[in-house]
Amino acid sequence: MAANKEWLKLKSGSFEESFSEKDWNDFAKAVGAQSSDLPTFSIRLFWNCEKALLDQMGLSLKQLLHGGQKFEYLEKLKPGTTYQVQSRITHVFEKKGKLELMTFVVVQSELQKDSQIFIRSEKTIIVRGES
Amino acid sequence: MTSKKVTVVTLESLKRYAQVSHDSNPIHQDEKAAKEMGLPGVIAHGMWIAGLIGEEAVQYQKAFLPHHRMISSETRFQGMAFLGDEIWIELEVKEKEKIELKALNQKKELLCSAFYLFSKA
Repeated sequence: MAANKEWLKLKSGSFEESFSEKDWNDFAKAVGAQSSDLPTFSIRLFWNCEKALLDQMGLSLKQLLHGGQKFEYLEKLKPGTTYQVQSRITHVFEKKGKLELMTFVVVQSELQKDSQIFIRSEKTIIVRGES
Repeated sequence: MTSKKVTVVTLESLKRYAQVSHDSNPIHQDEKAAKEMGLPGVIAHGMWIAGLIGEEAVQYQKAFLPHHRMISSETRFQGMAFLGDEIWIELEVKEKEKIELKALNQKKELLCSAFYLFSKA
């Protein structure tokens, strides 16, 4: 599908997210981990916010593949704490794949509390098919 | 470099991961939805595989850098894992505070690769 530069104007609004000790442990168990503080756990906390952006873009989840994921770990997360999450689209571009022209969307998100950033995320999404 | 088999992709494990991560993309649970999108079948969540890699990074840190903290990770997803595929993980120490991890299937095809950086706490 064609890259839509209008997507660059979209913003998610602010979402509140928290998690319990059980959520942490269940996430770790789902990947067979011994440690509960998995570095990928925050993907769960970014989900609702990033999904809201995708909904604004008119995209269906099944059109999407995960192309890349960066995290910066600035502060440790704690169960029972409420964090604020915000996301925005920073890049939209096209690349020719083996079979089709693919659209790439880069979503940057921040998880913070009291204006202190705990985790920065940069997710590259590959969009396939028509919206 | 070390290499080990860590798991096999099952529908049960992907459904459990979808539940705990909130990632409800149907291509990771529903064969019909996956085929509608031109995929041969259900594929594993990239972040499920990234979680397997992340656990290896945590264990490396605990063993070799106990007074450090993880500061960043960068993962690229380069291939798809299907039901029944084995997941192998390779770990290579690039520098003391920088490791590269790769997830491969049983055919040694690359699924994803990641760099993890650590610094003194």
